[in-house]
Amino acid sequence: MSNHPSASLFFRSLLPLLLFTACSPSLPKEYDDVAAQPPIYPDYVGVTIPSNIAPLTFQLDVDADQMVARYSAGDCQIVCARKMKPTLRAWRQLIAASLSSGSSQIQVDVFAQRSRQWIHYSPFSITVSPDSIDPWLSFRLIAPSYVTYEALTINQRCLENYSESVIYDNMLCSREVEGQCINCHNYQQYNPQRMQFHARQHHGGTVIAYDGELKKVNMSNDSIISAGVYPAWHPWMKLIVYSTNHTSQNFLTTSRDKIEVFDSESDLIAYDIDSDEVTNIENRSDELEVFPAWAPDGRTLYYCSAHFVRNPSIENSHVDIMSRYDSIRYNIYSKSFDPSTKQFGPRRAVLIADSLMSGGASALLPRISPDGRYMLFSMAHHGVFHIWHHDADLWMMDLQTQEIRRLDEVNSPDTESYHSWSANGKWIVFSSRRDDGMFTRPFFAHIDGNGHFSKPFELPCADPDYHRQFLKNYNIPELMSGPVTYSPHDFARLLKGEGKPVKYVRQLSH
Amino acid sequence: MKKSIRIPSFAFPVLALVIVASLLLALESNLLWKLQEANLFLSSRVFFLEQMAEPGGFLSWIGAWFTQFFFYPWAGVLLLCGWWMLLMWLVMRTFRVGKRWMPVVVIPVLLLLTTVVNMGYWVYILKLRGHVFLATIGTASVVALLWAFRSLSLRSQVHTTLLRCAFVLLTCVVGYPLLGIYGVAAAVLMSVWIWRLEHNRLSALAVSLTGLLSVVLLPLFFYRFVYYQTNIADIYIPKLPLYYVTEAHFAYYVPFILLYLFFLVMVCLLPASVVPQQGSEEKPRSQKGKAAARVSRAALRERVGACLLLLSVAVYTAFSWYRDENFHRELAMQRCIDRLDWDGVLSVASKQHDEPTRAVVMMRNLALARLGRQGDEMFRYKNGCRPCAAPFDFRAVNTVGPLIYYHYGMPNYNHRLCMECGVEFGWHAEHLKYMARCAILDGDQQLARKFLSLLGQTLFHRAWANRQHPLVSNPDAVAQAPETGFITHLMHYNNELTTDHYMMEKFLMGHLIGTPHTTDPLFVEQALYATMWAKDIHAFWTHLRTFSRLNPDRPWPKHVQEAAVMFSALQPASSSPRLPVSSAVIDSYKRFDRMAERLEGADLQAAAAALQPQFGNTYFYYYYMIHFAAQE
Repeated sequence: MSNHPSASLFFRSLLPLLLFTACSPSLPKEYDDVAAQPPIYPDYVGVTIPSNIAPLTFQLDVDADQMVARYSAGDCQIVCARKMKPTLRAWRQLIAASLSSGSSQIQVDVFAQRSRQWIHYSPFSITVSPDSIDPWLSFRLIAPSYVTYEALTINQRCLENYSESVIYDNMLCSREVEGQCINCHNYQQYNPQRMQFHARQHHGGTVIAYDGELKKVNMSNDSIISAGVYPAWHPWMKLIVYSTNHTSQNFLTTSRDKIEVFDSESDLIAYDIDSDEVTNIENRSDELEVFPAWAPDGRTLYYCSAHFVRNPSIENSHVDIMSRYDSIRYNIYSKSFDPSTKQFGPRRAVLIADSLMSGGASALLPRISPDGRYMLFSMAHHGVFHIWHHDADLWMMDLQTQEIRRLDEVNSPDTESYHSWSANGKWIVFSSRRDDGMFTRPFFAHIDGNGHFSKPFELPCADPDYHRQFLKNYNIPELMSGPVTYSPHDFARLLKGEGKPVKYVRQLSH
Repeated sequence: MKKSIRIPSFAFPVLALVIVASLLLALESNLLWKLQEANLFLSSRVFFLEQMAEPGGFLSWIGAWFTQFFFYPWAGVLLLCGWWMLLMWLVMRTFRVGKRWMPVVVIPVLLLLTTVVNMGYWVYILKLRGHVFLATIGTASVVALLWAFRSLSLRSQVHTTLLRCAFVLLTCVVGYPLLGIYGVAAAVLMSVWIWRLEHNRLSALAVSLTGLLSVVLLPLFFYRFVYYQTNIADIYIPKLPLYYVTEAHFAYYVPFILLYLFFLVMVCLLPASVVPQQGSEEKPRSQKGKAAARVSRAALRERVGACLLLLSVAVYTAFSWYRDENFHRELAMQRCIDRLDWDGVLSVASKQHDEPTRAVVMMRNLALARLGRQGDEMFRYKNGCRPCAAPFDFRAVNTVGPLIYYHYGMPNYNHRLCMECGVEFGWHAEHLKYMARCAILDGDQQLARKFLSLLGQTLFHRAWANRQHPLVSNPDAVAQAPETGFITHLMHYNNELTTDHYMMEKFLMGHLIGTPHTTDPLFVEQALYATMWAKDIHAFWTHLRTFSRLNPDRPWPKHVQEAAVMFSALQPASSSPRLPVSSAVIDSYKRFDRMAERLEGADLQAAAAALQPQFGNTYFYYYYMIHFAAQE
């Protein structure tokens, strides 16, 4: 749009007309007001959104013959029928109008027609935050299955529009019995050029991409209990800390939590990307360590650990764990790290969750806010795999006061689990099964200066019904500053080759 | 004057089609019904795009749409025959098949029929959506493309050659994403056929090279830039069914190879052999003398040759037809259970000749339980544990796992199986229906609505989904409904962290026996029968006491009486003079015991054969003579 004031005025006066005709239907002239919020899916009533988010699309979630909805901000409005599906251009103009109006609000009116009678639900607002969010989100798409997996992809989605592409597809290397599982994509400081993920089984190994260079690492070594699993990339060093796990799963006969995933052994290791050295940093036999996470200053490593003393009368550790699976609870600890010597300090307790509440709880996935102030984590009654626990909620610790609180404004009656912060620390993305209790969807929430979150909103899709039809989970949602530019075939070619073996050392060289 | 009756040239193929359709409906209506249960077509953009993510996805999408119609097997057969009719007509027109060679146009249909009737247990696990129609529509598309290719002609030789090159290229560019292997096959056939159609060797070479290069290079291009879900090993065969479990089963590819060879022969030999020579077909009688006789003999030879060719393919089809009794009984029982026709299940069971699979036995016992006759009749039917006659390891849990877990009140395990199978083999309507049912039983309203909403997008399962909606938030209705009422009585198992190791029956029976639930008579009754299945004497007495307490006025079922008498005799300490057992049962046991004593030392099989006529329908016989060596 022109910067000339008169031109601007001219276009601004035309804008409502243009936008109105963009979706074309008109609002009903006669209707009854209803004192209730509109039942819409996804639930965008009263949410706060980043200024750069893709258009929010929604549909009425009750039977109706017709629906007409209007977004309005300042002198801009968008009217759509059947489903609210604004065009990207109209949406951008609406966001701009909202931010320039001073209120930063988008007013939403929803009308529904039943038996030729229109009703008008109570209008609601969507708050547009001037805080933007990292423009790309990556995730693994996986069906909520238990043993089988077949086709898996790591995808990336532009949050500013609806474009989505495949980062890597396991079918490029899989064929029937020669299946390949892929997991744990992770980035150094939101940088899509510095990423890693694992491939298991056929052509297995860890893929590490660093500023255009790709390498496949074979992290298996006799001195560690498994190849690296859950990663934490140091904020600036070429160093990744992993947990190493012997993971199993079994099934519950009648519980609503249908499955329990557990580790019978786990430790922490550090891996130096340049030297391919790997070393143990926590390997106590009576502790199950997992889920490392770096503080943004790169001087503290957080992780979770459950105290578990083996019953010597039970030979099989797997059976031992299964017999006590619902009493295994994880606490959060930290270790100092000296970047100059690459040495880790002793562990310090951060949150002793197993003595919290009545009977204790299990705290997992610590994630430190970019300003170092807050630690976000998920907590449930027991266990190490909260995505399968319906009682899992997000909690937050103020690291200045050590106070923790359950994020009631964010949580739902169902599972909330994997979560991460945006680069500017103003947003979080997390996995939730609130839609149906089975399929994980990414939700976003804004945090204000007092550590309070806004009502979360679901990842917007071009068709608001998309997530209801889609039979896969969004696993490990991670924000990125841009798209991954390596092609799936780059990764496939790399994986088909041999992985570089790691060297086990007592102490990483510096 | 004698008036000759002129039989239309297409009469023979039509007659053949009528026979094929009749056979399909008479012998395989349950398989056809199962094919649509193992299919899914959703009228949504998401579903369409999911199909199009692989080369040949469009063909799969179309194939899945048509497969839905097997919900009414006659409707599906009608549509399939319509496609086959079109295919035969296309073959006839494309290759200008003369009247005396007319039988050969039926050959592709027989080969496509073979790919359906030879499936057997692949119906449960074949990873190809819309397989039946897909192959037929794909083949018809190939022939239609060949016809179009043959018809291409411009005034100048150069222009015609260029047009043909462009057409072959286009066949690959458009055909590969839409038709998969069928697009590639069409381009290869064109590259071969051009040498028969074109006398100018240079033109033929140009077209042929264009075709062959397209066939080799374009899939590589698509692999590199378009499709990420296809392994490089499969890029030249997308939408060919994958008959692979732990190894490839080559025999199932034979009809496809023969089909391809058929068209290869047609394009290699035509127009020389099949097209009648000018005048020889239409007016043989007008010829005079020896020449006429020669033509007549040649015509006869060709007719006989064509018929023999067809006959040999028909024989191959007949031999490939999967006729395993248990497979068909399992399908028939599943279809009855889907309609809640429990008497129908027993009717199927009563016709059993071979030793049944455990799937057959379990479905029969389920029907007896539903009808309240299990305790009196479960040993009246054939018993056994014949392994599935599949060319790969396949168990009862793979065939009827979801059904049995659901009806025995274990929705978690049903859900798990459906989810695993859906992920591994692609979503079936059957999976979604069971997952919706389980969500309803579990009270997961939103999840149930999700699955029902998906099923609402189907043509024939929509009505079923609509009938389930009222149950979603109404546990009372669930407890009263004819299908779910019984199941809710069984949902009392202990919650345990465990796994079934794919031994479904053992797992279920173990959980029934091990659950100390003592208030629901139906659950306790099933637990009692489980102890009899497991031959667990101690657990039998425990559950019998509970059964008697909960059913004070009910006479013990016949087989329970038999077990009680026998276990009393085996463990005299547990016996009680007050056992409410009929004198007929006591006499029967005494006779059995005497006869068994006489047979002591005899070979087990001989003893079983001797005891079977008199005692084959008793629990005594089951206890001593039935041993499930290869159970499940």
